[in-house]
Amino acid sequence: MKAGLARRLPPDDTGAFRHILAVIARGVPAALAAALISLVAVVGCSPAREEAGGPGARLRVLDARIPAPPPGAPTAAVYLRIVNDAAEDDHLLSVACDAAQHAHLHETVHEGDMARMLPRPEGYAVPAGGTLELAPGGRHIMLMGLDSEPAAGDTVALRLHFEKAGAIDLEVPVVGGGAESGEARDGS
Amino acid sequence: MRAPRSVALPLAAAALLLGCRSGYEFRGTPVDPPQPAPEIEGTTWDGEAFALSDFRGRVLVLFFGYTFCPDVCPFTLAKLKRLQERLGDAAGRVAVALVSVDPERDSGEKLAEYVAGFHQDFYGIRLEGDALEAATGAYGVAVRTRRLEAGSGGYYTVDHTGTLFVIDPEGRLRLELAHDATVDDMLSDIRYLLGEHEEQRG
Repeated sequence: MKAGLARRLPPDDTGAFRHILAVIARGVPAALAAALISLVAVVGCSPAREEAGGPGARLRVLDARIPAPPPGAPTAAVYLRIVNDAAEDDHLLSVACDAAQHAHLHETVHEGDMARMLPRPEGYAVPAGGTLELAPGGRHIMLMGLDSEPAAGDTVALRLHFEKAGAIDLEVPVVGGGAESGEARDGS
Repeated sequence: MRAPRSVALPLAAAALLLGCRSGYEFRGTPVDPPQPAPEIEGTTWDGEAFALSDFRGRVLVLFFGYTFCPDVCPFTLAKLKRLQERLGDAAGRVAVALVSVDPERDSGEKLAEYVAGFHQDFYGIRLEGDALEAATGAYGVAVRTRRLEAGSGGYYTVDHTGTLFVIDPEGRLRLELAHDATVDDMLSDIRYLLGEHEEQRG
């Protein structure tokens, strides 16, 4: 199947999402906010549900989003939070995205005034009872070689692979025009 | 306590205040003393001559980046867009220029499309070879290209200094803002520079 990039979600699909969790949509237009609320957390709504739900391995994915890349940008970043409610540690191993040639775990690191983007092929730990946060200016999923430019309102299908929880499928909403990341951090 | 020490503190405070005219304390790191901003010249993507000094009369926020960067550069541009929105009527007196550190992938046209996607008063500057080296050297910007891991299809990233350089309306380099400066910080400093310019003219 051709991947989910630029595929607008049919209205019926939204009903399938069972886990509607808290959403931070301040400063996002109402229509987008509505889209976010329906799409933000989609753990266990897909064929991957069985794989994801191993005994004791319960992960929740919150606030997944892709800031709409600027025109002509060949890449996009995915941000999200993963909450581990289980009693054992888990590990985000890799990401797959059919809509991009490559989907890698990266981290922007600031050393002095230098901004460096480092590949993190070893993935990220999701500690028991803790949260892994992928946020602007730090850890992120980098999508390279996108089939087409994602625009606000689109969704992109992603699959996260965890050491214990297995695969979790997401439909990640593309959110407004780049402004989101700038405002979220300083709360203005 | 002996008298000399008791006057030392107030004196130091007074010296600090004098150093920045009205007592305004920049949130960014001031360039002290201010110095003429190193010139950058080139052509825009459609062949027009371009020079940083063309921006005299406005505050110019200059930084270095590249369109392939999915995280920090859009984040910074989004903050600068927000800054423009919050400047209100003064927005026309502030411009933003991004110098690409990746001319290999950033065609002029692509760069223009990219920055204009954020705001009409954002400019993309493409320099090559010696001209780029001269510009990065003049601003003390380090640039290092790094291939991504195997299986990345030859993609590479460019480590670079993330500092924002703030040039006042007289063309003097006045401030350096760190990558994590907030919109509030930028707004405060830039409003001060615009006000100072008004005072000097009036």
